[in-house]
Amino acid sequence: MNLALDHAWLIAALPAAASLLIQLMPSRAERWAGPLAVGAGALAALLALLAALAVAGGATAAGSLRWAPAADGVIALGYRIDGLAAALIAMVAPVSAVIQLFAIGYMAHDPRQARFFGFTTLFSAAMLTAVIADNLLLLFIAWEVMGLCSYLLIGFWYERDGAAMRPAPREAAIKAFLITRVGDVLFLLGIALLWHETGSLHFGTAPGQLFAPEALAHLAATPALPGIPAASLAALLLFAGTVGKSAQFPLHVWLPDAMAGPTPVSALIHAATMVAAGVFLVARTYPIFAASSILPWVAAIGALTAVGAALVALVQTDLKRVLAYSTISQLGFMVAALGIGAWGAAIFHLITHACFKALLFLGAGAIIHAMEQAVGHDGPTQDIRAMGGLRRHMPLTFVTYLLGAAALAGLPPLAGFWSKDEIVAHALTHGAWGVAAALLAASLLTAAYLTRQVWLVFFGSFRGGATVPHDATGAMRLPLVLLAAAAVLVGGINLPWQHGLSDLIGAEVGAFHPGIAALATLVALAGGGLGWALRGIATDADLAQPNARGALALLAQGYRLDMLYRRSFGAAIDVAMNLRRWVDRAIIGRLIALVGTTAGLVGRITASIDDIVLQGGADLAGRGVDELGGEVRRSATGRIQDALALVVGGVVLFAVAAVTLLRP
Amino acid sequence: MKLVDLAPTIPWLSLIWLVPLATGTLVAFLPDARRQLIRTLGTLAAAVSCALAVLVTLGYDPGGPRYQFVEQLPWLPGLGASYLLGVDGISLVMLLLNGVVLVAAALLSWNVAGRESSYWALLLLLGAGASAVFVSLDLLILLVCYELTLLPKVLLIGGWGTTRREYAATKLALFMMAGSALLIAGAIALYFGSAMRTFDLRLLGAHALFPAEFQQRWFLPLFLGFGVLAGIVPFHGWAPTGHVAAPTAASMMLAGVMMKLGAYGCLRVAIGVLPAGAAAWLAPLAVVMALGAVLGAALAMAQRDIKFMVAYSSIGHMALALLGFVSGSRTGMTGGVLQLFAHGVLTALLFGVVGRMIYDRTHTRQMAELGGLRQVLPFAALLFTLGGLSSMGIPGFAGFWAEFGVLLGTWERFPALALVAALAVPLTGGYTLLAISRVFFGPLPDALAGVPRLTWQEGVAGAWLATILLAVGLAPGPLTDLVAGGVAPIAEALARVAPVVPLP
Repeated sequence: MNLALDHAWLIAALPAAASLLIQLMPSRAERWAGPLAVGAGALAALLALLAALAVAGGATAAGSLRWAPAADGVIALGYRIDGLAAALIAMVAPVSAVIQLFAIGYMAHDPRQARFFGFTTLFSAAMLTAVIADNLLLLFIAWEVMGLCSYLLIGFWYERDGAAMRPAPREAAIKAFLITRVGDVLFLLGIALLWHETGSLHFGTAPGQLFAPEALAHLAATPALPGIPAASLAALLLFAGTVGKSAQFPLHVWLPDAMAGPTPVSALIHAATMVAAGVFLVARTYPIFAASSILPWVAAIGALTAVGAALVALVQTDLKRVLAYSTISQLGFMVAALGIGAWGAAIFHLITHACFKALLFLGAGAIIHAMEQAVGHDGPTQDIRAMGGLRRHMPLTFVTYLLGAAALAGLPPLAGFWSKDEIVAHALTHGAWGVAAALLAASLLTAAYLTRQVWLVFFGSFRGGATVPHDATGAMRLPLVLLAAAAVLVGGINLPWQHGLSDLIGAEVGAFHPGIAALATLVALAGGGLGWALRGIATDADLAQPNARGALALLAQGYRLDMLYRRSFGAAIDVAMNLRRWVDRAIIGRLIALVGTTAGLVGRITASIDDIVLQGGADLAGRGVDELGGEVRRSATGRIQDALALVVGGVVLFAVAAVTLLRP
Repeated sequence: MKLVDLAPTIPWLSLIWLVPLATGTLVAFLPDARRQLIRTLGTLAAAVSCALAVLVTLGYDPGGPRYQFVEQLPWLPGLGASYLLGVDGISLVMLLLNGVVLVAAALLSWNVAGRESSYWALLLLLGAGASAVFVSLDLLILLVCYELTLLPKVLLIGGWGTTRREYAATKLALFMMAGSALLIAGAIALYFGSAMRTFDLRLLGAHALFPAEFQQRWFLPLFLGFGVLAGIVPFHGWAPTGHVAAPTAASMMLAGVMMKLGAYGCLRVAIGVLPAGAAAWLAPLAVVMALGAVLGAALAMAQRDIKFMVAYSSIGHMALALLGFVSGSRTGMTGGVLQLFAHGVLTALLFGVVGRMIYDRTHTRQMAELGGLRQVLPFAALLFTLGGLSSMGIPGFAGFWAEFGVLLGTWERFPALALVAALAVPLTGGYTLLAISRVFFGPLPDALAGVPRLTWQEGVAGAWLATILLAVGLAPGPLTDLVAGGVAPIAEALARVAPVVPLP
């Protein structure tokens, strides 16, 4: 037996223990929080890599604990390290450790370091738990804890207002939490459906487990709502969780705003790991999707998101928002891959993307950190229009960022080339022409927005003032180098002639076609040319202002979805208020009046009480709530209302989709 | 498994409600000047009552008969009523809830100034009455104690309350009396409906005692009669004003325990005794509850006064618990009872923070006038956040298992309604996070910079409630086992008359 596999639960328990220790730490020991987090993370990473190697050698590990009884049986919560879990922990644990090492430098002067590392370690523990969970309920629990950590960390600088950062971290945090929660609650209902139909939430193909052939056949054959097979409804509900967590259209609007969190958080949670959990969920429950009829819709959502977000990324002027839209777009690639059946390629792209996107975010963090010293905390620290020429001032950041961008653009032989090519090749060889076309267009745009961004940031001369930024020192340098090495090399886990990852996770080996590879490379190069040609686009006026008009402004504002959601929420609140007024007037008012009248007739209740009951009662609640409702709509916290609009709108849309799309 | 052997000769269940009652009577005769003694005695009585509830829970044998610790004394033999006590898994969890909340409410009552002797006597009477309802197996005793809790409620609001207290107390009394009228009619119907002329709930609940037609006629009056106190929409009008006007400890008891008395009655009496009647009404009631859960959350969202927000959130959470009951499934009922416990503890925590820790210091509950309180009251911010997370159903807190059970159970019979009720979940997240953001973060108004720190009673009470939320959230097993055992006979009786029909 293998030592690492035997103690595989430690991979999730180590960060959890570190989190607990950090939270309980006295405040004068706060400077040890970072090293403790990195130490626990590094140990977990080592264990994870050893365990993954052991799994690649044919071993598996599992363990369980009787924890949460359900009424009709016991849900034993346990872990299982199979190929898929091994592949994911081998990515998540090391990337988390490296990003936390970077954060030691990045957060060095922050007075609330313990809080920061307490949350990031808890997040790592939750993410690793989600990956190694052997059943859907534990996965969901970890999934929710991740969402909570995401909320806490986006709002980490809660005292900052929206003037310096757009939007304020507090609002962005609430928006992110609420929108992902829409997906989460639908996910929970999917769990309810699966539990009801199969009596098990356990991943496994043995009799009595979720993926047993008879369970899947039952799901495909049983209608859950009239005319809709349980498998399709369950897959749709689970996919709603993915759409929220992995920021797919139309629930993607939280991710750009989530950039209000500290940059290491953006790298860890909003690029490398948590947002990829949605993709992992679909991969993990793929047998259910395969038994359903929704995979074409999954592919469509993914392809639409990939192109739509890449287009928006082209005109962003905020360093991190470019990367955020890029993340949305790349997650769209993965979701599209899942939709066309290339789930192995989706996981491959998930892993390579985590490496180079974490690298790009840390590079952005290094730039922002340096810009703060050059232009001051309140200056345009994230505005790429104020940068320029950083190639000379920040050579290490430049080289590593360039490698990350090239890997993301899919230039051979870097990591992104291999994984993206596998998805495109699958689409082209399996007749998914629409998806292939969309993904090629998205590839073109990816290279374009990266070229524009790299040009504006690193070339030309510095536009931010007399003081120029400088490369980071100390703990922030090594992570850039490590991740750059990963961005170059990690494609090696699944080369056309050495498909280790496909073997490990048991996926179909992606075919390699030199012609398609050449096409993809050409598209990337053309995108680079396009980006160079468009390098000055959307840099003059501030197109993000709500009153800006025109096609570019529409893109810069993310298709104005936020405004649409805000307006629809206004309407939804009106409906709720009218309903409330009606209930008060028509039922409660009359009831109170009736009781009051009766009491008056009997003559037992004094005149003063009578007054209150007859005249005050009916009006009180209605009047109060009217005012309050108006206040909510008028108040300035519009962004939160956007989120709430999604809460209402998302569920309605979902219901409509469920009823219209799934009827055979 | 049974963990403690309790001597059968001692009337444990009677002690649980007699201890606070006797102490309450004692302090009623103490002069207000002895306030230190009164507070100490009152808190001790609450603690003893809570400890006894824990002891009885540990002594309950899940493998044994359904009702245990049964005590029976003749009371009105001519009427077929007797002093009959006993507990099953449901009553035990409710007893624990009452004990837990009463201890916290007592600790948060130490700053009550004026007429201390009457205040503490009424608070203890409230706790004693609630315990007595939870242990009664005789419908007449149950109803008498149920009515007895009305008096301290109204007097506490009217005498020690704040915002429009006379109005709120009157409104509460009127709603309660309307509910009681239905209950008394229902109890009389049950008494004459069987040839046995008994109020013994064990006998009344026996299989097929009442004809189906009778059950269908009398189920709704009983359910709604109890439901008024549970705050079901549209009979919830008393709740927001009552909760807001009540002094802190009373709003904790009101939302934390009293609303649960109503829900307990719905389950124990209405559904438990008239399963065939319940079967006929499950679907319409489930629609009302699902809409109520969403409406409660939506109205909580619209509040500017944070205490009103907590009050409306209680209406939404209670609707979710009752949705679990009327789902008719064992999972749903288990989730519903867990929701009663989880919501009881968390709402007591939220009312404690809002009413005592914030309002008593700032003298405002308008969220627009608050802000940045985390800087001066960090522990209160932590407590409110923990309560809020539980309210939102985040895993790791008691609320998660409750919500999970309710949605799981509702799906079994009414999948579409599970979808509707699920809308309340993100809405709950919305108003909770908004409130946390508005009250505890952002700039601190200058006027609030010098507010006093928390007292030890506030800290202990808050930590006590938050610890229980976390403990149950992390290790739900013992409580869920207990509840699942308790609801099993009720769910089985219901399943006999209303089997889940597979969809076409």
